[in-house]
Amino acid sequence: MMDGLTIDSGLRREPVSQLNEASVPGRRGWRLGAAPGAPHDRDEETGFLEAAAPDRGLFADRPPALPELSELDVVRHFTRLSALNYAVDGGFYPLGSCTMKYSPRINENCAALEAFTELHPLTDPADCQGLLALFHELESKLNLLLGYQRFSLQPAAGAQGEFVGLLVIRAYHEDRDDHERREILIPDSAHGTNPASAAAAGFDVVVLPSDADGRLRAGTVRRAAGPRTAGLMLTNPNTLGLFEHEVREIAAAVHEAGGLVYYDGANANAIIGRVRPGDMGFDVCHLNLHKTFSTPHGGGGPGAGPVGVRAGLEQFLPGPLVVRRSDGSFAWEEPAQSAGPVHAWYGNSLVLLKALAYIRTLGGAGCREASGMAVLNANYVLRSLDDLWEPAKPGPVMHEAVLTGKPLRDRTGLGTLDVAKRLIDYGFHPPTMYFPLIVPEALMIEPTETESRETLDRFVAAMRRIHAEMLDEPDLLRQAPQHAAIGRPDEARAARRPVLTWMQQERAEPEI
Amino acid sequence: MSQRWYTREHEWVDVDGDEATVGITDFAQHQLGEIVYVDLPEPDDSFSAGEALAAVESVKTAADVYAPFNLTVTEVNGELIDAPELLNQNAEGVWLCRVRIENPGQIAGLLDHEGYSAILAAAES
Amino acid sequence: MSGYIPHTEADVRIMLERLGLKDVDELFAEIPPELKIASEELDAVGSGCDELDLLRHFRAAAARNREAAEAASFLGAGCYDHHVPAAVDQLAGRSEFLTSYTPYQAELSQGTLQAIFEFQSQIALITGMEIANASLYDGASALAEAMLLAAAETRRHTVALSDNLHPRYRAVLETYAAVRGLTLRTLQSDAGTRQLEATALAQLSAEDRGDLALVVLQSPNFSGVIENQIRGLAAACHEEKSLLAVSWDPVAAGLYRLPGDDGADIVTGEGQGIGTRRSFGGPGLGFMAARQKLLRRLPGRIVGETVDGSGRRAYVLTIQAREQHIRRERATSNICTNQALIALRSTIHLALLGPQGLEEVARRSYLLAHHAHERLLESGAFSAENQGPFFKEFRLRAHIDTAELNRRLLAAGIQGGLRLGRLLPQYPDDYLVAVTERRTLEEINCFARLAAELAGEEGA
Repeated sequence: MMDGLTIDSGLRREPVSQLNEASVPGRRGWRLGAAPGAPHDRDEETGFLEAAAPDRGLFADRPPALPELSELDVVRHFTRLSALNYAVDGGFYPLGSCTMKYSPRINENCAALEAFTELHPLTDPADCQGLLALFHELESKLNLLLGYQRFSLQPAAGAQGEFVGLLVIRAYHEDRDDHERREILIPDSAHGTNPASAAAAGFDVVVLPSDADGRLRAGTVRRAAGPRTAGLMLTNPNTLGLFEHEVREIAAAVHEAGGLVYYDGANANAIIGRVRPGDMGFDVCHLNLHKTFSTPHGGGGPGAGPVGVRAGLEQFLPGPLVVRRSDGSFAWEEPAQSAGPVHAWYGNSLVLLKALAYIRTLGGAGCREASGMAVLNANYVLRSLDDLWEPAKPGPVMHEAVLTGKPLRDRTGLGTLDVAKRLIDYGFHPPTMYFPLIVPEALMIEPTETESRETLDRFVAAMRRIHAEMLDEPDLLRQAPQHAAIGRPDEARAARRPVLTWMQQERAEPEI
Repeated sequence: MSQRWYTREHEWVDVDGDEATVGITDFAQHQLGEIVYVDLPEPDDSFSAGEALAAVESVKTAADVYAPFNLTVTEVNGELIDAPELLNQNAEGVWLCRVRIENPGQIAGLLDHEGYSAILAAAES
Repeated sequence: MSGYIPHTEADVRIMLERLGLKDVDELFAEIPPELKIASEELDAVGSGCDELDLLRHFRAAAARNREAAEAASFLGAGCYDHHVPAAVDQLAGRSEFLTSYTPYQAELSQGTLQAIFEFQSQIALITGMEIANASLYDGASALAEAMLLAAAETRRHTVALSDNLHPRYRAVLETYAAVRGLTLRTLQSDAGTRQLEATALAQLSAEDRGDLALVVLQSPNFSGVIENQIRGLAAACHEEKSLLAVSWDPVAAGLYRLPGDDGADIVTGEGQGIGTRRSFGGPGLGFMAARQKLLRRLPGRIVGETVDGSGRRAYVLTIQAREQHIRRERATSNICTNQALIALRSTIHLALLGPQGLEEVARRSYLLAHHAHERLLESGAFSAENQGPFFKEFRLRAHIDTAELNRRLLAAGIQGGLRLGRLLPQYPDDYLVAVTERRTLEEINCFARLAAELAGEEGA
């Protein structure tokens, strides 16, 4: 076809049987040989029975009934499963708010060095100076890029970062004997994690309305902020892809009321190297390294959600933090008034190393170029579609474009879900749908800077073709996807009669 | 003989003396879509007017059911645990819980059929 | 410097023309000018580098850890040096798993979804529970989530922790408890065996028992000892209308009775030991298994089996109404991402092991640990700290300078045990030694020999 489109999701279509269904009693996939240096005069079984005699009462009769498979069975099983997955390495993934950029391979190699993967977290600091130096380097670079005094690298994900940031805010008020500040202000356009994290940290949530243009106004904040306000959580650009240009006035309004301002770094890919949350008046921020700094998403983790704070708040961070001593060596240090740890160790260390590799490769100028191209790509896609899909709000966007499918739904009866599912047939991952909640039939497209103009053009061509299909061949959308691993799943059935393990399979019998 | 009242949160309430039965309206079930789970309170639980009494979950959303007045739960509809889809089939005929009304004065704040219809008309326009 | 941005100058020009703009900076016109940073301010971030340079930098850093990383390690305390089969790395490294997102789009994520479903099944099997979630961040935060779950389920506010809970886990629980208004109490174990007795709840005041949401213990516990009164403690908890959570080492499932079979309501743990290297503590793998009745209160993602329109088997994220993207401030937890890739590693590893492989790993670890225990006691450098039954880790009381011992061991290619004072200052003389199936008799003998030498020199 002229526009280079093909109907193919690229995924395998044959189902893969479950591990337990392939199990054959007695089959082995991995075995342990004799212990090196073990005495030969008795076999291990006998030796074990003798040694373990006093503990017999604690033992199970037999090990858990895990499936029994050969190594090749296992290798084929997971290789086949992988062929059922769509991934950034396979194609365009314009999932809004998720920043599905390419994850450079060299970063994987850097983090996979044995001297990192085989290192125990309780290794004496004197014996792991290399790793501590890299943590220190990452923290320094994050401080520079975001405009903060200190970062804790500990939070294992963005949501845990939000939780930690809110703990810092809480500790700050408690330190001032200001115990009445129970409320966190959050705009209605916020990510769902913001209110969930505020609640998890023990705060009450006060939702602030966005204005008709989709932005939070300083006046709204001024009216809502008061002696009960602990802080405000804001992402900038916001979830509509719009820069909150009253951000300084908003921050000032919260500060005047005695609260602190929190930056949700989920959308930081738009601003790195352009403007810094620390300069915008945000006291605390978290970043999603798996978004902004390219570490792979892994099908839902591991990520990393470091938290940065301005000077005067560093003593509340979770510990330990890496400090550089006057002799140039590195050591762990516990912050004086830490709000407490959230992880058994130091967070997702290997993920941190991958993010550092990315930042080192790009350098300051490269980071700035990346945000420039991310914003260029988003606006290019928006402009290429805005004659067919109405932008959610007027104005240029930052790193993502939010469209509304409401007029089209009113006209054709086909919703954003149908468009998304049809995109799968064209080999694209759908954009984020039905978010932000304040946009009806929302379609949120975040192309990221690593996608080429040709890829964007093909995506636009698919969207335009789907638009034509909506009017001419609506069944193609209603029945989509027809070319993925499965058709649309029955989600109601899954939730009404949950089958969550092999052992609950009998519950999966067809409904009467 | 009970009388049916409605709330702005799309619940129906059949009041019979100092007892009442609470459910969700057909509009509510339609908005939610395929209902997959109903989170019911325990008998003897007490709620103030406006507190979340129960929650109704569909695949992609969830809605709280609010206490229309101060009340104590006397009985819950256990049938919904295994068959939440009954609410999709006949919302205005399937009840969630029976309650004892603790503050009858608050009934005055409820809507009658005409008042609720006006709310629906406004919501749909 | 990087090749990650594909735009040529011509691309940028064409795209800007489409937008009616002259340069890229115009795209940022919405940002108030006084907030913008100049390019020079970014110089300190670095000037960028190529792959060669980058590898040099990371290799140079790695060289400074190499001795500790390559040493035969007897350090455990919640992070263990179990072998990772080659197939785990190769399969989990496939980019279809590595570079996909959380499986919201079921049609494009059946691989990840089925793998999580199998993970949930395996976790249920090795904990003896009915259901499990798709993973949590690590063992410590998983236990904290169990505490929040129990508080919500019981509508109570007191949580009692075994004194043999990992101190960092305890610290994480304290963090979460402080902001949620929960009160933590400590249950004292028997000093001789380091086990919690079935009557331990009697240590609590009647008031605390009346408000008791959860009892938390760890098995094997922080002293390495297997808790043997889980059944009695579970019954005592249920008597008080509270729940019992056990933080569990999944490797122990190869040998010991499962906490679920003994009546625990929630079983969490750190799954790093199955499929993932120590990795300086992360990424690890939190898991949570529970009784069916707690399903609607589980935090994190859950995958369920269903069918598609044509009746073929399919997997989806389910029971989502608990989650933050729907419930916002009323969600059961704020968790969205979990540790999917690490859960996948553990799924592959358990698939390879099967019941017999898991038993072999557990038995070998048990045997070597008990051998090491014997040899180290013989060395004269240590005495037993307790008489409790241990699995693969044990706690000794040292009569020598263990800092000096660890220095000598490292020079001989061995990473010694944990000087407990680092985490528990009240026990400056205690020493925690972990032994996995990767250790050899030769390494153990060398460890014991160096300990004996030092004991001789110090006249211990």
